Amino acid sequence: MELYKLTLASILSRKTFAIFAFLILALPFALPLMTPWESKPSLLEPARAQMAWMLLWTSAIGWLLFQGATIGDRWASHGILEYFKTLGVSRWRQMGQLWLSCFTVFAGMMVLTFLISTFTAMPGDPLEAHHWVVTNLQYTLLFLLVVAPLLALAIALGTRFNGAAAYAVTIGLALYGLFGISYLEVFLADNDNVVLNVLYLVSPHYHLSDLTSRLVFKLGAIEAAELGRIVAYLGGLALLTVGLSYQFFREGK
Amino acid sequence: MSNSDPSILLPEGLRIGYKTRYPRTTPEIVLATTESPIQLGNGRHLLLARNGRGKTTLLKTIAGIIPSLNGKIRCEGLVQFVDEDLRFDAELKPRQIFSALFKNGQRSFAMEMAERIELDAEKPYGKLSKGNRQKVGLIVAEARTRHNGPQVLLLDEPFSGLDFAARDKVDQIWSEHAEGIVRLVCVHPDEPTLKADSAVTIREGRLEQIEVRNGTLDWLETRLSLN
Repeated sequence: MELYKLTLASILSRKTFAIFAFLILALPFALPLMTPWESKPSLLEPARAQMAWMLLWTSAIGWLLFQGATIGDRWASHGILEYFKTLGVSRWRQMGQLWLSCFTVFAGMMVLTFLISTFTAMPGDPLEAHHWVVTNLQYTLLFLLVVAPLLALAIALGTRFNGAAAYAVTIGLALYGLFGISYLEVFLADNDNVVLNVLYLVSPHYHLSDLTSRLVFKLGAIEAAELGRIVAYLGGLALLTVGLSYQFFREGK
Repeated sequence: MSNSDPSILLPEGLRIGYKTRYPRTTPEIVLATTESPIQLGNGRHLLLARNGRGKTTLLKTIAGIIPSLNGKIRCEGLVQFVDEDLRFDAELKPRQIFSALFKNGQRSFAMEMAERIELDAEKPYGKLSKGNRQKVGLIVAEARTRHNGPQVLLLDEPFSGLDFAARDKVDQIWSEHAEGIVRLVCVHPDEPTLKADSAVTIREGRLEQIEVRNGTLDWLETRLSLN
């Protein structure tokens, strides 16, 4: 786990994670207060949860994927990965250790978000509160299924190409899967274009993991069967992404 | 030689170089070949050649980073390849690097060696001079050899940027810790102070081993023969 420790030390010494951790900690409480919440105080708590998860997505896209892409790039360019290769650390283990070092720091942000969303915005009604906790847990699981493989991809592309390209590809994929597909869906409602339909079919439907509106509008937890289908889909996509990442991963440039 | 002795065997007919992207026209670029086997055992061996003759390629081939074009290199021991370009993050201090890479004994050895060769372990890597950055790589390689079992250390231009005093101290540390380690050190043929048990040269595409008398290479002769 030396590569893990070295990378973690590098991430911690750069300290950029502290900015995002601070934003996650402060903005869910501060920003909702800057709205005319006095007219309907009951909206304050869902708004807090919404802000917490939005910030986590922002941190994942703005910090985590960037870290992955640049670390992959730096370690491959600086000879660190080749050095570990000569020590017998395989590609899988190298990729896993880089992934884990980035995720160790990000896990703290995830825990903060979960705690803020679950415990500072929980509804008073016991049934709603139960659904609230379960929805937050489901959200965490689905979020992980999207973000974790994208991080592996960012690292792998960073080792093969460069940090900027790796980041651009993964951020593009994440934004397309989260938001772009919705536009495509609207367009396809009045259009039978075969190419676009195929594109829609093969696109990564990351938006399935975004349960923010379910929390805000208190729609309750996802039913087990539906959750199973989403997990199977995102899990399959995750396996595919990790497999591709392994193919892209290189120890040297 | 016992089973626990470290060694490197470059077999007869070994070809090092690169495969190209044009297998039909130019399938490979051969940098060097061996006409007879070369066996490197416990001790210090210098790798000498002029620029672009395949010194780093040979080290990378021995380390398993790039495949040989023909022949199988045999290494006994834990292999470490420390590239001349090995760099750590600018924000990391050498102390943090050693803490991340090593535990107890190795870590304290690294800190002691840093003190001996006058490396400020509290200064961020990015603020170190070229020579001091080289020292970090050297310390990382040496500290790892404080591990049980045979060791094969492949060092690419470890002295570039180091002043004579630091070079002498490294030389001394290598002499103190010589058992169970094969050190193949790539240097330019202008380091007359270095001692060696043998030298491997790459001359006109041929890999050869030169005998060293009394631990000292005849530098003038070697330089002339490499031209």
